[in-house]
Amino acid sequence: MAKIEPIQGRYIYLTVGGIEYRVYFEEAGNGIPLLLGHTAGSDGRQYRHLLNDQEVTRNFRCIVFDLPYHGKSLPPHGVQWWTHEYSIGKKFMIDFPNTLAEVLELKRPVYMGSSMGGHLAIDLALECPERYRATIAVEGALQSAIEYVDVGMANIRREFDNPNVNRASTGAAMLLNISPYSPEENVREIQWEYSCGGPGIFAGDLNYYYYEHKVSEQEARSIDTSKCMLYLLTGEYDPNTSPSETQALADLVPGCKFTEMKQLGHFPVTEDYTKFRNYLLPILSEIKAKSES
Amino acid sequence: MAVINIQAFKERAGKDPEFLRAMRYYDGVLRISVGDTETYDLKFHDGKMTGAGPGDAGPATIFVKATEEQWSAMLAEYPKPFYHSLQSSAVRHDVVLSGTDATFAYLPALNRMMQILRMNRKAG
Repeated sequence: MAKIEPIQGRYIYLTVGGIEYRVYFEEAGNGIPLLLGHTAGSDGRQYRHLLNDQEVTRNFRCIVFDLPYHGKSLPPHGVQWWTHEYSIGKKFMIDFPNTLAEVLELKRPVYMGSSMGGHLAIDLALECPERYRATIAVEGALQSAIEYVDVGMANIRREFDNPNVNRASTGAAMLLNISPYSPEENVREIQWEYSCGGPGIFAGDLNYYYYEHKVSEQEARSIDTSKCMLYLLTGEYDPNTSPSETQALADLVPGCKFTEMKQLGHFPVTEDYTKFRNYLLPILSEIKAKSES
Repeated sequence: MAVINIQAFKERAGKDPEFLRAMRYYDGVLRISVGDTETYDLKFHDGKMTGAGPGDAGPATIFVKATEEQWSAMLAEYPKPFYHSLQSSAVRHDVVLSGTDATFAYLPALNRMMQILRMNRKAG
């Protein structure tokens, strides 16, 4: 008997910022829609373990998308994308899942994202709480760690968008974000995914991750968790958004819930899903209970 | 016991397929320093390791410099945050890592070097 996973992949056409994109997404499960956003420079493959987790998919319709220029979402036709340097901004990051949810006619989905997708969970809770019943920021904060922000885009491009450097090095560099407790095969899978990225895409994503995502203390205090609950999960081995950075956000947002994840890093969904789900499942149960009340 | 045993590293790295492949085409010196007084040079020609021993004053395209305490932290079986990689140790714990194109290009080799050093330290 064939061994087939219960994940279905399809393409959908989305117009964002006046440009039509052919977008790849995968889904599994039924119930409350759960949109899943990947990290900078990678793609939706990161969520393969979650999409196979029946404890999640029995109550949630999990939808993971590849942002344009990532994974199986090719660069758009009709745009001479090769004539300019790729860079992603906050407006596009917010508009994209909103548009996907509209086109798929999802009713107040949950959004969960990791790394830049985690920062986006905070921006969505702040900017459009009426659209989401809850957001889950995995490795999110007011801003990324200042030690990395201070590196500057020019130096980021020198490391991650450099003709002298093979993209295998982008994969290798991700070790800095990975817990030493992670199974080796998972470490290598993360590195593989990063080595597959399009030219300049990871560096361009970091424009949002390090610079355009910046939530002020006043903005953080204004997040209304009665409209859109904000959950925060951060791994103790994440130097880019450490637990202390997430705690600074949690201290400002009334009603949000923050949990530090032990022995996990910046990619907990892939590093060790068996550990990550112990933190995720109680959140999903709470969202389900609230949705039923 | 010294935190770095360069001869043990040379022996293990010289038989390690991942390290040997990751160092392909490299010409130059990879320098490891422990504090200000202990320096080792790994010399390569066209990706082949041609020497491993005490460092000299010559140029090194790729270098790592850390105190003995920092090396011990980085080479622990399960390093504490954020000693788990050379790059996070550099940004969060002030370990000195060169920032040359060659350093970025040979990050896969540097990661494997750290794994080999960690294995050697565990073996004693």
